[in-house]
Amino acid sequence: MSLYRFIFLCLCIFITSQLPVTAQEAEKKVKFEGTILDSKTGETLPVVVVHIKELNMWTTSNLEGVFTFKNIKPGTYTVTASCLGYKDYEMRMVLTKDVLNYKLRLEEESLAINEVTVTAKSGGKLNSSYSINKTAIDHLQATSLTDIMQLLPGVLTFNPSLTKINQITIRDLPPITNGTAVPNTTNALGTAIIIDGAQLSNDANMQTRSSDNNAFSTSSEGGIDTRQIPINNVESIEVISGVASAEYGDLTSGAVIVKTRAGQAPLEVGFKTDPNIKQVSATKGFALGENKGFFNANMDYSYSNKDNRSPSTTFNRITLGLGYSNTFNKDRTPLSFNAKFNGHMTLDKQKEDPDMKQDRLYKAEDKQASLNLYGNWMLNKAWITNLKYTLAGSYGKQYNYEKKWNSGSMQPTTSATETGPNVGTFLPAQYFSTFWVEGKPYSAQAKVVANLSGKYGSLYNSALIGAEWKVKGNEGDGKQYGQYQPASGLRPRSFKDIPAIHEYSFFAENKLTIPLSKQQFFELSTGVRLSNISTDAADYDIMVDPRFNARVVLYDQKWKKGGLQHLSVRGGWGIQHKMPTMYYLYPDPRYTDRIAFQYINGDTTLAVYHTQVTPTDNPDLKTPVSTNMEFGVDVNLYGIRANIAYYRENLKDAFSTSKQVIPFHWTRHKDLNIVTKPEYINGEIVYDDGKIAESYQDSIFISYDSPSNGNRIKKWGVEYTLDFGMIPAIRTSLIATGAYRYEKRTDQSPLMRDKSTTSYAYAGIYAGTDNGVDNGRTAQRFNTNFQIITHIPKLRFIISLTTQCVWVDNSKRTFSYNGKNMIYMKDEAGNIVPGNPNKDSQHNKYINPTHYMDLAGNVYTFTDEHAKMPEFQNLILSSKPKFLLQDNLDPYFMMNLHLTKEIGKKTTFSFYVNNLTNSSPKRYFRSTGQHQKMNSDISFGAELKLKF
Amino acid sequence: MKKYIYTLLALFFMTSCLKDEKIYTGIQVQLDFPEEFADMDRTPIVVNLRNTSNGVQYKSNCDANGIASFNAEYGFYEANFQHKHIADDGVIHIFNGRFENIVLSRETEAQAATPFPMEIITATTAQVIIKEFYHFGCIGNDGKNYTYDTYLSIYNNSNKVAYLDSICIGMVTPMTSNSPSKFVYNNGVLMDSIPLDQMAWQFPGTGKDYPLQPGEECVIAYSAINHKALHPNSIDLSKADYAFWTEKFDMSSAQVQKPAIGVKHLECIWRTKENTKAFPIANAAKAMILFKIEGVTAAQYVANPKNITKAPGGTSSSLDYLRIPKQWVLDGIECVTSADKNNKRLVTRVDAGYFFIEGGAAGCGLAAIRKVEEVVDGRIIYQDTNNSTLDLETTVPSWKNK
Repeated sequence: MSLYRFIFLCLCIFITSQLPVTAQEAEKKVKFEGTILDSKTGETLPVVVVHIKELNMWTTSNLEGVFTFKNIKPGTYTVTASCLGYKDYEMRMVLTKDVLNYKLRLEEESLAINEVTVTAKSGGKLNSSYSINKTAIDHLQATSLTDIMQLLPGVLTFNPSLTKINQITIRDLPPITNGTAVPNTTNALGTAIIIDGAQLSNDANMQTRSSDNNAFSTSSEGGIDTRQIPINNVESIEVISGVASAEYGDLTSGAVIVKTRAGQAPLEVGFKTDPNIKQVSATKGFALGENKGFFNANMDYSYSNKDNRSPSTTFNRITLGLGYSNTFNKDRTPLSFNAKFNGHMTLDKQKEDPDMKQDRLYKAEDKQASLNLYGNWMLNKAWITNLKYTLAGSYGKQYNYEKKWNSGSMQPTTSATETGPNVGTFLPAQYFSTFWVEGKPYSAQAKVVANLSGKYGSLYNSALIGAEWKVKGNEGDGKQYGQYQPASGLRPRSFKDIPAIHEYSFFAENKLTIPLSKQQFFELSTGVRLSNISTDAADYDIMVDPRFNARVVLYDQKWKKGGLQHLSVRGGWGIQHKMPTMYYLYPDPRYTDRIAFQYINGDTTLAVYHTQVTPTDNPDLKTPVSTNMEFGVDVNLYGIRANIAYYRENLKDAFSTSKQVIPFHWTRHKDLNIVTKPEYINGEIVYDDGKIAESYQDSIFISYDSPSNGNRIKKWGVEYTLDFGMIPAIRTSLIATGAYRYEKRTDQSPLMRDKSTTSYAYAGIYAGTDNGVDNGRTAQRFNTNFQIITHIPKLRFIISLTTQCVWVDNSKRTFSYNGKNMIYMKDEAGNIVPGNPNKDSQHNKYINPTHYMDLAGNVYTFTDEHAKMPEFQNLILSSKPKFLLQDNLDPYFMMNLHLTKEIGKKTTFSFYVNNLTNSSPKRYFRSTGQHQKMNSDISFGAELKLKF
Repeated sequence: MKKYIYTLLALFFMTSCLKDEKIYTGIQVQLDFPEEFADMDRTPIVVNLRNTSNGVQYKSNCDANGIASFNAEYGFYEANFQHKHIADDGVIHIFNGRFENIVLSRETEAQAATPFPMEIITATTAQVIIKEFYHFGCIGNDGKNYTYDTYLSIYNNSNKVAYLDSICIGMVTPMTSNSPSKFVYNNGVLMDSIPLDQMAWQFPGTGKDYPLQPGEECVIAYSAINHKALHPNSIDLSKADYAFWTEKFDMSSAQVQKPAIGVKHLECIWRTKENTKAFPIANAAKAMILFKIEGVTAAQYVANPKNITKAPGGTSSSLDYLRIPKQWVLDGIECVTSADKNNKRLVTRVDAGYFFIEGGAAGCGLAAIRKVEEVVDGRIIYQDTNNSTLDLETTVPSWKNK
């Protein structure tokens, strides 16, 4: 369907929902009023948000705990109520006449109540999403947002670590190297993290070091480093892994939606420890008085050390959060207003290893402050029900500094920034070089969503339209160095000069609910999101993201004993675009310096260079786009709740790096090896005695990296959650979650390799193959986590034992390029051997370049004839015989234990052990001939929380 | 009483007669030299015939046909000889021969009529040999190891003028002796085709452009500058003869400073990767060879892909190695890390042993040098029996105090 038909369809649905249906106008409206009470003490609770889901109407209880909804059309609704410190309330209500004295009781959140959830809740929603509440986060003892992903089906256990970047991936199938999973950067880049309605952005992160292999630890090409988000302030998390609502954009894998705490709460102090991490946190919510709202403060300090023997691998971070929330005009059109300030700062100013000689000094600093103003305004008019707004901004400073002692001999260097011959200088034989990268990324966003919800006859409809604007930029000094260049080819680059990136989006979505009978209903959500980028380097067409989700509840009898209690099916389809980041839109230009002549005699020196400046940006850079499709079934049969979802995703044009090579010719001058002093005059080397050095031409290939869209990920899988319910006598429940995942990744970025040695004159152009014959990986994995949870409310104690079983774990290296198979095999004598390269394990595998380039820059197709000529042998890549074989691993298992106990009125103690039995089975990978250790290491930790 | 005296006297006379009966016999020993030495002058060769019972030695010169004649008394003998011959191309050939269990008696007289064939073992030493190899570096001015002052010294060990033209220098892989070489046949014997690592260098010249006088050395420095100016423990190499430096390549990242003016540059004929920038003779012990490419020019040899291979079992991403047939080697030395990390890289014919500096490590400031065999008219002749265990010893680099 073309763009215009989409918009037309959406507008049609939107407009029809606005038309007043006259028959219903005459229907009597009802009033719904009640009091919110604490279920244990009976005291009334003020300022509790009560929400009618289908109508998107909300209000807050007043100081006496009374809430009121007026002018509601009779019907069946879902009423929710939430208050900090209490378990969320949800109830299905049928309203046919005025209800005036409803007593809504909230249960205080603690292990003493009957129903406690420590897993990710799934099902009951229109798309694949998982809800995780505070009790589950505490029971898991997460140290960062990334740790929480372990609660989702299909994610294998990993130990928390704050000394490396923590990224979030959704439905990823990472390769495991020695027990540690390597997350897919493309997947992490495509995962949106939204905190209180404001989307975090890593897009202006430029902290990398180019032209040198000493890279700083940075996530500039990947997703957000979640170490900056304090976990103790999180109230609830929703992970959307399916087709997201049109309200969310700039994502391809999914979204993690975080709600932070707001409201009155006692002072809670927590201490967390595990072998490598120590954390102290405190949080409190103050009620500011009558109708004056709440003030929440939280603070947290983390210390982490990868290796206790060395102080230079530590991570020290402090975060501070302050928030103000209030609801105004409660009686008529309540307007909620929240202001949240968050700041974080790393404390390791200086990292040096005292055991290493004093020749290297590192400093790393990362701080950021952000402000988020958001809220809802319930207007409850005929043309608009609710208006949601978000206004957020952030500003940070990232600083990496390195000071190095260089001792060797006098070397020539140049700092020219233009192409052409230039006169350089000589570095001293011994010197300190300093290099730093200063980034000051900033971002701002504004979002407005208007919602109109209502009941029209027997139909419920909720429509929303909204607009969003985002800007990202970097004001830092960028890459700079001191008096002496730390490496050749390095030049200063100011980030201030990089244009900011503006993003504009418009979205509209309509959700229609049609009750088919008393329990059956049909839900259809149709949405579209239009986005565009405005920045100097990009000129894109408007990106269109259609999003569809539908659900049919075929059977729903919650209170029926035995047999089928619930059956619903759902499906979704959508397209999701990821906006380009600064790192890919504005890459560093490549400076290549080649010496043309050097003379050194004591203090008299002359160095003549030829510098080539190659811009490395890709004017044809596309945006990654993912097409997602989903189909799910929710069943409740004989007390067993099952949610099964089948998904299929196809990600195209994801960002990658391609290696380019261009020929480079320059004039050199033959050294006469005489003492007479030379000068560089008019392109010639002229010696003082009149002699002129002979010039000659030289050529090489210079290589550089350029952003490209070569990454493709195709995946499909089945995720399942089976809740077998609780055995009341022993208060134990059994839940099985897991997933079967299939993923095929390829990187088809064009790669060019310069294979010259002394006399070689060709560069090969390959289809994504870097050193071997593969340009991708295919993997499958099937796992089940059996979780046995015993919850004893009387003892206020909950313990969960999880057995992680990986039944199937296969992976193999693959090659694909336009559907062709270009790999062939040769025997020892050099004759081509027929056969299937993927099954053969005897012969070396070979692949030819697709094209080759000579030093004049001409590109030719590489044919089989070329493969036979001796001068092209160097261009043919090869891999060992077993390289392409599939590695099928035997099943491996692991057990984790988590327990939480409340002690007295004020204390909660938690403890966990990952890999309880220290099972580290080794699996043999026949493709590499190596053994790898599966399962993460044994690890344990404890947490103590005190409430005052 | 008289009877006894007469008997004793008779016995006395009888035995003395017996004693006087010494028999001499002629014996000839034939020296059979390989065909290529058909023109060699055999007359100066002295053959020793030694009586193994009483140690009496007979010496005799050979005649023009290589036959040495002796007249020796009956007994048990062994024959041996040593001879050094300097061929026209400067190659020194050392001949050793031994023949044991020669029995001269009445019974073997018939056999003695034909000459005994002497088995000859030939060894060759080139004119130009590696005399000294300084690779450990010293302690720099900042207290850290300074390994840029390393050098290789080659020497004319003969009494005729030698020419450096076209002589090549290479480093044999692996670059340390800590693990065995991959270049072995199935039975573990090192391959005849020697694999060179990193870079191969060649002296310029067309034939007789760069002479090296007898008793003269030629020092090739890794970095031919005055290191002593900045690092007092180091060496002034600004007057070295040559440097492992080619203007063609950008050697800056390897911290090799452009050689001082006047130092000649060697030509790099091959390197393993397109960006190999240094000839790492420093640090761990290396095996170095001098060789000459025969039949084709260096450029032609290196351009032939058959001469450049990967390690056995390697793939396209492994390094390239230049292969040199062992017959082309003029001289080689094998320095290893220690007594137990002594994996050889050179085949026995090139070097039968290995050498390590006791307690040698980066920064120790010591070098390996050949032992002195003899001094002839002030000209030092170094020992070269193609066995580094016997031939080399530790020394302070000879250029340090020049």
